[in-house]
Amino acid sequence: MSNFIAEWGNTIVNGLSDTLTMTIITLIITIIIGVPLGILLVETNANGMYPNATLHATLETIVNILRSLPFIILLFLILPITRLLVGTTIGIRGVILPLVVYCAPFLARLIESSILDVDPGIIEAYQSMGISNYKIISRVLLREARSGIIRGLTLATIGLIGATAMAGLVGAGGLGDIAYQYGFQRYQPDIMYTSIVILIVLVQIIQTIGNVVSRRLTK
Amino acid sequence: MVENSNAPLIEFKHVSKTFKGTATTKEVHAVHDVSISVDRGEIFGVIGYSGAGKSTLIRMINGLETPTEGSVKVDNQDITQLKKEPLAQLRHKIGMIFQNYNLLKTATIYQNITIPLKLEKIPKDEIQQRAEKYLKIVGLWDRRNSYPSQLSGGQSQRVAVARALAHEPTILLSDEATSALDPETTSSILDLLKDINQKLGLTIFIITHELDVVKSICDKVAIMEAGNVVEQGRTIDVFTGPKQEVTRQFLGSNDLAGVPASLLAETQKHNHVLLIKFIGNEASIPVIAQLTKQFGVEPNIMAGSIEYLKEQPYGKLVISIENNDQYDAEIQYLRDKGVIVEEVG
Ligand SMILES: Nc1ncnc2c1ncn2[C@@H]1O[C@H](COP(=O)(O)OP(=O)(O)OP(=O)(O)O)[C@@H](O)[C@H]1O
Ligand SMILES: [Mg+2]
Repeated sequence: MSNFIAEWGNTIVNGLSDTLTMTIITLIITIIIGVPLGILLVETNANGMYPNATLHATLETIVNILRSLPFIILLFLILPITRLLVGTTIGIRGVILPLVVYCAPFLARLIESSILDVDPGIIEAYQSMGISNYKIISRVLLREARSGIIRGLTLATIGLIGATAMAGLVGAGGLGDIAYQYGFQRYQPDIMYTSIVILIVLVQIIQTIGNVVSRRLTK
Repeated sequence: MVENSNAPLIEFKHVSKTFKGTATTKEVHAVHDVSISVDRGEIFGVIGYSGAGKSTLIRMINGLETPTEGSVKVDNQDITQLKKEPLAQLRHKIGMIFQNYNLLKTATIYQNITIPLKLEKIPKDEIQQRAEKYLKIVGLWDRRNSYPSQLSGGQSQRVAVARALAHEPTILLSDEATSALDPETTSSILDLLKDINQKLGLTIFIITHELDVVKSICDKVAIMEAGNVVEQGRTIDVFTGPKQEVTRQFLGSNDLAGVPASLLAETQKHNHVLLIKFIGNEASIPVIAQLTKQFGVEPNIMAGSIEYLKEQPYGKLVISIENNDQYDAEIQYLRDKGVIVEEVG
């Protein structure tokens, strides 16, 4: 056991830290893009607060297209854009953009559905009190949708961790990469299983936290 | 709002509202040529069947819906002409309650009162004072830390009333606020509204499909059918002298206080059956006694009921008079005494 730790401890810790770094950075950018996108999907719709058929149709199309591409395809498909925007297509820096492009539309859909779950009567009540649409969205809708939003975020984070496993393909490292390289290519099953167990535990922890927070916020 | 006690507080002038059809739906004339005026301090009821256009009508008062024709004035301001900011200001002065309460599930009762006030930038200590004052008025100060899911329907509606009152409005709109409640809870909410009307001087505009709501609190009533207001006036006048058949149906004017149809048919073979309506409970019995004295007929009382229209007793009596040749004179005599007489056909 202590031998194993001495030999592989560093590799695994690095892998975990790469996975967490990719996940956290991507998650932050995903939230910044996905939440407003989800709100736009709801409010530009015909019965939303700012109906706009053209904008709505455009957003729908973009989201649907991006949602239909598997991450691995997306990763290569947008390589030129990645190079243009980030300056590199490898390492953690190179993988953040594809991860965001993959994850933000997914989160937007989850945000959309949790906002749609809020009783439209509440919006009407707040409009009748003379409160502006902007305040209704930011202070009332998001508040009432918050437990659904947390559940969506949990789902998106877990999906994201799954996608980071493929980041090894562009040399971004992470636990998924370690499991693949050592386990599959060099046939060292113990390090493969260790990485996998850590990934499973990570997902469990995130799901549990998500559940608890979401339940707390349901009130 | 500017005090101007002569002009009506709410005035609909030839208001129509048409919802445009879409590919899959037809055009709907939800409200058609409605003119209504509501005076300050009044409780005004609009009653009608589902789909009559009541909600559309009430929503035009605070601009949630805009008329396609005509004008809606609130305190002399044409609501359709108002820009965003003045409209928001006006809406602060028009409270509204709904069938589903529309409270925030994620907020406590106390927060449900304070959040809208915060969003309106009312000073903090003022917010606290108002929350306390109005939660006490609706009797839920003790429950301030509960969540809406922990309250009954009646309690939830009280919170909604407190939330509306906390803006210190001059008008309270109520769209089917008691429709989801049992009769007992309904009457407790109605008592609360009556109280608010009297103590705070609020003008209340109520939409309902329940006759009891109109009977127990409305000073005036309008009957709506298929987008039209078919009849309106003081509640007592509309009840005692409905002009339209729909109104009669709605108000149960043809209702014979429980006389079975078979008995009616049997009686009518040799008798005239009369439905007598009167306001105030003294008038009727002596009148019938006088009828006997005057004409020597002996009317038989078949059924009777007394209801209260906002504390005013309103009675109905079904009597039968044996066929006789002075019948027309007898009816005239009763009418001259000030009761409303209808022959049951
Ligand atoms: N936004 C809308 N778009 C299209 N049609 C509408 C809209 N709102 C209401 N209507 C239609 O207008 C008519 C009147 O509706 P309204 O809700 O005012 O009736 P109501 O008297 O309040 O009925 P209820 O007692 O069921 O609440 C109905 O035929 C309804 O389908
Ligand atoms: Mg309605």
